[in-house]
Amino acid sequence: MIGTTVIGRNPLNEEAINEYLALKQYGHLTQNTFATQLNKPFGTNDVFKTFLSYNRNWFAPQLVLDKLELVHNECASENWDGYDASPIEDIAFQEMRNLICALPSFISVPDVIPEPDGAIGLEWENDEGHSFIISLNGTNIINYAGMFGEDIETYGTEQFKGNIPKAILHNLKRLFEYNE
Amino acid sequence: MIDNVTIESDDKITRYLFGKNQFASSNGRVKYSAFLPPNGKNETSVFKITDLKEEDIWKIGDINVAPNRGKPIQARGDLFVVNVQNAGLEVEMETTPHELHANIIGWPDHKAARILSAKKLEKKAKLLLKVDGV
Repeated sequence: MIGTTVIGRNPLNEEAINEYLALKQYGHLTQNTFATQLNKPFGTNDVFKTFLSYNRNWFAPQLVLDKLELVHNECASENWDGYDASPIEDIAFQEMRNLICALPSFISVPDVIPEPDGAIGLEWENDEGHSFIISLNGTNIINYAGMFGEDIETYGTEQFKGNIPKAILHNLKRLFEYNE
Repeated sequence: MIDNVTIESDDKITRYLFGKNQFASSNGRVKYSAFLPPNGKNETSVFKITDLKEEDIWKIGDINVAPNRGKPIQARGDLFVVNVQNAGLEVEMETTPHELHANIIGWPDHKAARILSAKKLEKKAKLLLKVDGV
């Protein structure tokens, strides 16, 4: 039974999250959708907001996929930024969808950022202001860049063949200080 | 008298923003992609705003920039020329469209390096939202 307590990382709350993730029809994530689908008599406003904030420590692909679709729709035409930006093509959108579904679970929900050359970026930032960005444009090439402290930077290129390349995983672990 | 010929490290510049995906008002962030040059180009359009009043900065955008862009200005990102230089880039006056117009130039060829440079600009940029009536 889920009450109005703050959702933390404990078995009861993981049950609620797993229940949500197991839903067959995600639709557009809204507070009402969340409450209705779970059919729980709790304070939906607080729980929903907490669920979203909780995702700092629990990666839920569907949240990012929803954001990705929104960005794709908003940037599907030329000049979406007022500076002659190229549209986000379907091929870039699909490639990013595939990548998002392959991301590991120890990361947080990234920001989805359209780029003026038609590529799509995912950006993560941790509490220390360190950040890591990956960018895809539909050509199976990942461009990435990271800032992990003063004068500690990285950038490079990897191929995307369906799995997350080691260099990308390495930098995500670095950002989230994830130790296996 | 406006100095539109020279640009120094302590000069202030601004990037007008037209799309809501270019900034995040919740945390006052100009997103890195707002500074990236468009496809096929190696320069990012900005305006020198040193010593200008707020109302004049917005007026330049509304009268001289927005009509050519086909969209209303939603916000802008201010930073100093020295911030651009510290990101490995440069600012060059290019007054053809307007006496205060300039370009951020010197972008690296490698896309990933461009993203890193743009992220450095983001970290130094100050977001200002356009308020109705300004």
